[in-house]
Amino acid sequence: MSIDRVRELVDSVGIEEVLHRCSERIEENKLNTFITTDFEGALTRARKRDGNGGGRLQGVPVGVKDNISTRGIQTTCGSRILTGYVPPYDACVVERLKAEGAVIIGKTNMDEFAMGTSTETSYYGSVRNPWGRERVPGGSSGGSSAAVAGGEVPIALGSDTGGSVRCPASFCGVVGLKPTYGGVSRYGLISYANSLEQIGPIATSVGDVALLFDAIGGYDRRDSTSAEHEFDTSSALDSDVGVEGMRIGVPDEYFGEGTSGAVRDSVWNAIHTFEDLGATYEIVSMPHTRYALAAYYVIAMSEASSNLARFDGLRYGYRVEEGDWHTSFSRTRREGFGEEVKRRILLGTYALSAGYHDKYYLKALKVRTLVKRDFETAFKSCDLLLAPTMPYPAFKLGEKIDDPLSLYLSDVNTVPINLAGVPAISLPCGFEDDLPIGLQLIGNFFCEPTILRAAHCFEQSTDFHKRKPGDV
Amino acid sequence: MAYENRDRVKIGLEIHVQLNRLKTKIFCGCTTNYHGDPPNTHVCPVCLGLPGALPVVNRRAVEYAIRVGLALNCGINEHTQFYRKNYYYPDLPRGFQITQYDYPIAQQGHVTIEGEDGEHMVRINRAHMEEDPGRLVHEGTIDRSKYTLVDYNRSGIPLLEIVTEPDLRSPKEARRFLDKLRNILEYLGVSDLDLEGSVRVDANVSIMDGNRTEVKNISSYKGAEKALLYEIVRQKNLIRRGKTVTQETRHFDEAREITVSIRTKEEAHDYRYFPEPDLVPLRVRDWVAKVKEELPELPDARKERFMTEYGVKAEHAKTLTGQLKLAQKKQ
Amino acid sequence: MITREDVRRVGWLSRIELEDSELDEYSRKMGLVLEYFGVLDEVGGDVDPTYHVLEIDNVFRDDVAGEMLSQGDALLNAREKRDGYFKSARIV
Repeated sequence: MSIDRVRELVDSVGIEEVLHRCSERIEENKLNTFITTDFEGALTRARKRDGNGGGRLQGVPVGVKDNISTRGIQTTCGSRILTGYVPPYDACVVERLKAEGAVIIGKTNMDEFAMGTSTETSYYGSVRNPWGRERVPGGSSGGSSAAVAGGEVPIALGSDTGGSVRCPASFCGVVGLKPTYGGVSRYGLISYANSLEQIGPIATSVGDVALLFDAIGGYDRRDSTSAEHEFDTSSALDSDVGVEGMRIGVPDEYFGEGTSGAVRDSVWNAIHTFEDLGATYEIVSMPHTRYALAAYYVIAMSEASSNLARFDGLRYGYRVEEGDWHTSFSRTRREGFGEEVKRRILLGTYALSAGYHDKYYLKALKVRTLVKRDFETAFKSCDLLLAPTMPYPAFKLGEKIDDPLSLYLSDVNTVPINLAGVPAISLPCGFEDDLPIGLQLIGNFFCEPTILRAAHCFEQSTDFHKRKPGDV
Repeated sequence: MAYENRDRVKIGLEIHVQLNRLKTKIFCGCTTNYHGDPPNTHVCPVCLGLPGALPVVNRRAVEYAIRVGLALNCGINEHTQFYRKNYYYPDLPRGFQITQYDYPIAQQGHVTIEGEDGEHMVRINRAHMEEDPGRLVHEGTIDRSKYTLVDYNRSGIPLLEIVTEPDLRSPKEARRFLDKLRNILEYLGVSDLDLEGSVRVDANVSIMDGNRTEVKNISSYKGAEKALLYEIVRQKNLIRRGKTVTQETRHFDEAREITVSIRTKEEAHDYRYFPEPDLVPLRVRDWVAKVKEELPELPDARKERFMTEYGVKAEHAKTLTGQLKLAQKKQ
Repeated sequence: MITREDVRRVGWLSRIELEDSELDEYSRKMGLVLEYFGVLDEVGGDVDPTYHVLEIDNVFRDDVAGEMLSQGDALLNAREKRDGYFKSARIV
């Protein structure tokens, strides 16, 4: 459902009815997309603002990933350790959503602390994919993407540390944007890997993603890594400006041996669609791609091991009372964190520890420089890069969860973008066995308008986004 | 006559000074005047370490640090950076302290004190910015207490850690150095050192080129001399009895005026320092000229001037300038 | 590779209690990941590390008081509190 359609509905049937339909849809779907819903609070807040609406999202229900702080609404990060934690403040993006009149109806399910590619590591249970209930929705923003794909909310926020918006957008057949690092304030986003992650919008169309990005993006003085950049997204979707003459780079390395045939074909069809629209393409090489995944995981785990040190049960969250402070602390974390989170903290601690710091952490940061240079080189001759978002469509629940490494390998096409800090969007470009396939368009720093325009043109000339789960 | 220093006493000091003349904390807008206020009333998501809250550096804290650095004749680094020092204690709300490591704000200075044998130069290794942890309150003593209470009003108070080289040769010199430092800090107007907890000193002590011990928890200037006197006698006695000094951390028990070994569960510290990803580098060397210009006249310079302008005798000038209030009256 | 002892040490450094019976499984799975990280050894080290992707520096706030939480809000999420303090287990 589009933002425009929902706003019409709000005008015609009223906000209460719109919220009621959201709630009903969540009930019917049973996808486990939300950890917490707050329809009562949502209605109260929406009514309070009734009449003074001028916001672009007036009355529009939105799902917010559960690692984004919401004042007065439980925020768990999908973890037992934050059960019952109610932030006393709003994240910057939540303030901005509210300022535009959006109505937060709840907090979406996610991989614990955003560590996962399938939303199976959530303490609150796995999320199901509306395109196939036995399939994962992707992760870690699986709740947000499945909720949008399942028609529960028109828009949602996710966060993307190594693909966590784009992967579930791809698996659920919706549109998701990972903005330029520094493009959206991280104030209030519970950190997994600070130097890599960004909050990103998820919706059913490129236009809605652009609008949501416009609403949440831009400089915030509370985030020292926030960029003072004014994005011009409005002209990006101008129908007069197409992709005529746009130079598209196709990185060879993003079509690795694990890529499914259908994914390969769909993405090549997309390239030809762009050609038909007047763009040109060339094959480019990004030689350090093969090191990106390892570098990404070393950096993410190292930062995570430190970011998650604060969860000691003293000031908030789950707590085990047992012996002295260090014992109580260690046991709280034993019980409060799930397997994957513990493994990543242990590995990150190891990578930063004396004797290993240079071999792992420092080396990963050096590789990051090389990966970033690959992008700089590519963007000398290209306006954007095009690749599959994921090497395959949604896999089955339980298929990879016991094999961490094989799960990590699914992120091969998404993590280099976070290492470099550039923006990327995923949008539907085909189907394999009735499961959606995602196309990834990658831009240079602050070139969101470019990738949004290209994505919009592609969407206008194809029908993939029109198909809904359940249509045969 | 040169000072003999028969026992080859070597003392180095690490002094933590609160820059408490600042209105707000180092990384958030909470006010620093918490003394006497109820616990946990000068706090916000940032200094409580709430998930998602992010630090932003107080510009004036950096200015103050440069002021002190210049007064200690240090060089101000072109590029400085905050790091995370990872360790766990209930007073540390994030499970790491934001501090400096490589690239501290100020390095390689010196202070001249009146030493055992006349003027003596004490080298300053570095001065770096960091955040103060919260405050723990124990029921009874730390080892008997059934539980610990935590107040985060102090969490995030801007600290400057000043580290000397082991150039001090006696407890008396250490005291003189600390007096001189106190004097300088007051002249600079960066700290009110009368406030409880505004200064904490750790001392590294060795004799006869033996192992050194680190004496922690010296919370007053007077305590420093006593702690050092005790620790030197303790080390001498060990060596006299043919034993060696163990390299260890010791705790100064102010009430009993002795140092005691602290058995620590965390023997193998591994702080896993890495640059704080939530903060960006500082390039502030171009502030130096302006800060220098605004630097008040420091005690040494003023002493010189009192002697030449007013014909005051050296001894008298020292007394006058040794206390900021007296010196201001004389003006 | 990573031994049981390494896992135990890192567990303590991370303050995550691990049972003896879990150490083998942790060291096996962590070992596989570390083995994969070994690919980084192929890359030469003669390049500067990238800590921040954007070259931003000198971001400051003014020394001006901001909003503080009430004591009630500060303690709202604490399981154990007493007289306005957070209450922690004994230190030693």
